[in-house]
Amino acid sequence: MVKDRSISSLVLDIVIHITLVFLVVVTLYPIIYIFSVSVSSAAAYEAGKVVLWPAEFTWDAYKIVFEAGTVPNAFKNTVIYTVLYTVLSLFFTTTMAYPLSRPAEKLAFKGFYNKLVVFTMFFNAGTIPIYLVVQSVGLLDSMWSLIIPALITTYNLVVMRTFFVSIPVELEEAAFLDGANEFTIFYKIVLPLSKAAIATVGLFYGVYQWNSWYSAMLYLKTKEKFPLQLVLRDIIVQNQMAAELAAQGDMSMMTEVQSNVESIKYATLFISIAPMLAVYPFIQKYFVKGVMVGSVKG
Amino acid sequence: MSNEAVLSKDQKKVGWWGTQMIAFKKNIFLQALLLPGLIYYIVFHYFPIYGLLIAFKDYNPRLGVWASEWAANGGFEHFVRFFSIPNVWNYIWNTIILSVLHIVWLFPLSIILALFLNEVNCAWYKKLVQTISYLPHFVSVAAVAGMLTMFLSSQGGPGNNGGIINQLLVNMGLISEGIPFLDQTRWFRTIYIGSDVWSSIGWSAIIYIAALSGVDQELYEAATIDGATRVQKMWHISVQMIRPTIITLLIMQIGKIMSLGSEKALLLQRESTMEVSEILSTYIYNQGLGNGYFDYSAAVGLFNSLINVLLVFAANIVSRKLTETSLW
Repeated sequence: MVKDRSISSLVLDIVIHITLVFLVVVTLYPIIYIFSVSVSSAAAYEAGKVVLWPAEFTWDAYKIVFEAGTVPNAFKNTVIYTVLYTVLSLFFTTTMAYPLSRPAEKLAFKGFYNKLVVFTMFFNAGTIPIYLVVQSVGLLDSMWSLIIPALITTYNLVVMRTFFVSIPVELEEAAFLDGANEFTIFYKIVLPLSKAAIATVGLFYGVYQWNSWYSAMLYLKTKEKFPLQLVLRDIIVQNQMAAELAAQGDMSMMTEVQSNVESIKYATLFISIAPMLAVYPFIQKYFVKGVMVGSVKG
Repeated sequence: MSNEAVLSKDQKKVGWWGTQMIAFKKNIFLQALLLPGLIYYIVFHYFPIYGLLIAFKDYNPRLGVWASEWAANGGFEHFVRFFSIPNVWNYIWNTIILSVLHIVWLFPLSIILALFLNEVNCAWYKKLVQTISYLPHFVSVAAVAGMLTMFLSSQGGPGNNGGIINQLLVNMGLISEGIPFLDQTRWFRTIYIGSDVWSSIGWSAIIYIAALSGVDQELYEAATIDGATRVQKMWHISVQMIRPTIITLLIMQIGKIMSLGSEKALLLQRESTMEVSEILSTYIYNQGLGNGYFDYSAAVGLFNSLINVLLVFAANIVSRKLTETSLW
């Protein structure tokens, strides 16, 4: 393409670059600022020295957060919930998506199953009726309440099914001629070919569970079971840090906490987002792919 | 002889049900594979629909859903009560206005971002900006609310001016002391929508960027030969080519106008801002799990879900008329 060297083109380029740089700054600044406050001394922060970069660098806030309070335990909980949820959800989603991707001659009552699933995309019974089911199957205040009621997301099911449909039928027919049954085809041909789709959907589930707090707020009562995001809300949005430490019986840390209260909050905030920030550049391409598949099939 | 031929011959003899049963027996493995998922859907999507019966009952936890007494007014007592509370239209309006503001801001901004990125020729620069723009999508709602709480606070911090926003405003001499943004009704929508834009602009642009990358480059070259400027090409080619995508997504968004979730609103809600921050979903949560009115809250939820279904269907019909693309 011939390079356009007119004035209007130059102005357009300037506008575009200013906009993009502005976007990058606005996106990154809050994250950098959170980190900077969390590793600056309380005195430097109080003196207004932290605007972008850390001042009087120290890991004190992180030491306090990891020695006292509920954050380490919540972090461990979140890791457990995320791993369990991702594995179980993938099992339930793949086992359901595969039959649904088969032609109607093979899967009896396919139309009925499809309608059963699609209906849930449009009609939601709502918070209270779901809460009552969770209660009646005895999941209240259990870590499984964060996992089992959300095992399959219809959107992810559709993404997975779309992928299975795209696998060439010839491969399966060839296997059939060699005497393979449906189980062998699913296990030996379809699953190995679907690594990318499984990775994509697994990441959707994993990120969802890592970032979720709402179900935990609805269903969990015992503080020791809280995931990181709910603890984060309690500490920052509800300002419950002192109460939490008192509940832990850790009075010796109280004064230290009082004097570092702001940097501790920023450290907690950073701990909750840091793992995602570290992995997202590597997983985002799978997400983008998933968005495209999902948007085609609605 | 292939399976299909056998089936179609049988079909004539045994009818629909018979065909299904033959397929069922022949491929029992597929049915077994489907079973865990099926049980999940029945328990966690269809049992709750049965549980919606409490919307028409005076729910008594000891008696359960079925044995509880029917509510007054032919079972519609809770719906009557909802529409007789003074704030009902206020909650509905709050829900709609937040959804509309979300669309009004995020839609054009994400399209502009996609158009601008499309004009960037330097591949690594484009990739870098795109990747950075996805970052907020991976930050949890709880963390976003945490940031807003910290950045917008009006207490503590240097000179007791509050969080970074208030510090900057004081330093620039615009205000003399910190403003408690989150406690004031006039700031709620700005904060809610502003942080929505921060969270989603890059992610929402993906679909347009993909649509733009599919546009035939020859169109641009032909326009260049005809003497079109870059701005003209952006408007007459880029925007026109992604117009079906824009219209479809817009209509689908409008279909979701009443289904705004409660997560973020609950996190940003303060006692002093209820007047603007109480939307339908937070009202359902606050009444149901906050105050324990399960039956009443289920009724409001059912009303909300029915409206959502109607809106989505209406949106789909409009979409089919205008763009010949529809969800189903």
